[in-house]
Amino acid sequence: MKFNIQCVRGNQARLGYLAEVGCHGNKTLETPLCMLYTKGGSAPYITAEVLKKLQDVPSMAHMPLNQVASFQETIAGFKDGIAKFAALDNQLVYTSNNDPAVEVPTGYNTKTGIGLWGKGGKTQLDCEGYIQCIEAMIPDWFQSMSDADTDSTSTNKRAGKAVERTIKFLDLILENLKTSKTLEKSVLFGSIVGGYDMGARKKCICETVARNVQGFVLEGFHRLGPSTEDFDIKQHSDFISNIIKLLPDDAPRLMHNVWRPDSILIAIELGIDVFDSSYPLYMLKFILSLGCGAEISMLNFEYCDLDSIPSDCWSYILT
Amino acid sequence: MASKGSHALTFKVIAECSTTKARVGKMTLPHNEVNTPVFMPVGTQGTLKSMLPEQLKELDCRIMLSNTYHLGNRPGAELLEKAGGLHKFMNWDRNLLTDSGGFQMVSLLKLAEITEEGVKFESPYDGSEMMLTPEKSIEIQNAIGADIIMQLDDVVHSTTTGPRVEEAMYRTIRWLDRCLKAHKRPHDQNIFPIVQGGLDAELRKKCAQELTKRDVAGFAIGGLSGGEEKCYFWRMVDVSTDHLPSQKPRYLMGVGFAEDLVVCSALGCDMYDCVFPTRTARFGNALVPTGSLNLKHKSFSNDYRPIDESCECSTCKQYTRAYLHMVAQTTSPVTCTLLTVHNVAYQLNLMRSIQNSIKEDKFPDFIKRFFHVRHPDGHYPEWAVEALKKVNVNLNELSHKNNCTDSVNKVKS
Repeated sequence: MKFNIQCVRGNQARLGYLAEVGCHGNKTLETPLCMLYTKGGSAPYITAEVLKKLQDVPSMAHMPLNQVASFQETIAGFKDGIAKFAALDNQLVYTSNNDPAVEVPTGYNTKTGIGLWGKGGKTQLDCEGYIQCIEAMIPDWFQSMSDADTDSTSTNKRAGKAVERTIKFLDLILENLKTSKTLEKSVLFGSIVGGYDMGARKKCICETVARNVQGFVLEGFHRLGPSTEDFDIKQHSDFISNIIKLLPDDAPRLMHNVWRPDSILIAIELGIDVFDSSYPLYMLKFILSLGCGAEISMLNFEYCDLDSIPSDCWSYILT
Repeated sequence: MASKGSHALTFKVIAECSTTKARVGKMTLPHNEVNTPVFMPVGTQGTLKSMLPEQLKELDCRIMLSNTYHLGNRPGAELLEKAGGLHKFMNWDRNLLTDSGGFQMVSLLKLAEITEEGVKFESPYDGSEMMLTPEKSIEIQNAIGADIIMQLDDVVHSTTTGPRVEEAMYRTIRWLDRCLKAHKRPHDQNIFPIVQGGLDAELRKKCAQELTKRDVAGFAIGGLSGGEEKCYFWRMVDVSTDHLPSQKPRYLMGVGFAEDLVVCSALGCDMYDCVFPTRTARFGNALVPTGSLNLKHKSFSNDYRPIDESCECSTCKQYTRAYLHMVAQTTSPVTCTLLTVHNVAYQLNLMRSIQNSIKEDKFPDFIKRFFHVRHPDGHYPEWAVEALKKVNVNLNELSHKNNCTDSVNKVKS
């Protein structure tokens, strides 16, 4: 994969493009990049047929591992990877460990494996299971296994442990990759963890950069899920900026759960290149559960506007 | 009494089965032509749950149903009128049919009381007493603007017996007259009256005869498919179609199981609606010629075939049973869409096959093959055997096997 930065503006905001990405050599991706959020391999409510009707669909589909890990054998049996299995042949695929839209309760992270919040509760995935999943899915990008079970309340000791484990997982994954024909073209993103302990973060970056990864995922700030809508990136901008300063310029940086548009702008300014799009699903659920009263609720007919939705921000409204 | 040519509907029988009462028709409505026998998917509240109007068009669906009771509550007749009718509101430029709203009052609301004036019920929203009269039902349906609208009928549970059934039948006829009188848009909307009469053949006959005297474009058969014994069900359908004019369409309300569609088409029905195919999709079930598949079942976890090899729908073209199993198990919201598309395609394909076999005058063979595929052991449902015997098709005759080999040979040569 090649990452070309065309220009850097303001503090660290980067405009660039990614070429020779993963299994789809001919595709180019422009950054800052938004990925297509999926559930079980499909965009929520949207079939491949309907997706073709939409304009400007992100080329990179984001498929969280936790959603499908228990179907590893089913996906492996298909043989051609999850993109084709989910009828998204033309999409690139990135796998994260957890689903940004769902809060991950703490626990189940050990020296040998990570906690995955999937079907039937929290289960543990070890390195072997992880590699099996990734080999079945054949993603273009994949996030290395990590202990991101930290938030603002975590102790420095816990943060240090998270780094230690994450680096150990990375080594095991890299060892396995050497012999994996299936993942020859897949690009590994190293996970940068360590809670709010700058020492731990530094160590994590140092060790990760020294290894063969082509991108970085910044995590371990919170436990994902709806409450991250209020994650105040501004409040942590110095901390995040200091982390990013330690990362090489020529690799893309991905951060999950940067949801609100104003947060995205701040994150871009800090030097983040890639974002997930789990926010629209969360907003849809919010609108549906609220029913009425929300300023933009589609369900309150008293405020119903019979003019059509402006065509430049049109998206399929599925209820 | 009945005058011709004043309706927003023309119906032409273009082929008749020489054995059964089945026929193929071309029904022309204000929004497009419809080939019958037709199955109408149910979009309760102005949308077929989890499908876009565009997708329905791609399956060549020409008419769908919406429910007056639900639309009347939300968004309400006033807003629909302001929006230029339901067609525009839901972005569907093909035909629509609305029910009268009466059925939901009786089925959903405990406190419904029926008087000569109308159906009195307690509003589920604020508890106030409300009255749905024939006039009010037509007023709402005029605002919704469907191509076919239904009279308000006096619905009794299909297993009710005694004088109440007769009372309901006669009241239904009286209410039809009030509906016709209140109708403001006869130039682009057609009221269908509803044959009632419970499970009493004489009452059904009487009702059909009375309704036929009115100037209407088509007829519905109501009050069935509500849990009555199938052996009564088919007899009521049979007697109703016997006494309805052959040159007008007959709509059998609330029927949509594949076997019922085949049998009732043989009994001379032209239109159907049912929530079953779309509702069952939402529970993870896919309809196939042999019956249905519950894709949540473990056995599909390594089944990499499409739901149905012979189905041309976008789900079968692109997705395997194993994938559908995975998304059904993970309750991914795309599951409903994928299975709804397939099940609607299945229903529409079945109706097209029925039409084609009638046109070729091979409907009896089609019926035999259809039942043989579903019941390879030859244990056919008794009611279907009886009903089909009534229209000269003997399911237990072995001729279908020869026909199967015939058609296979044809394909080979």
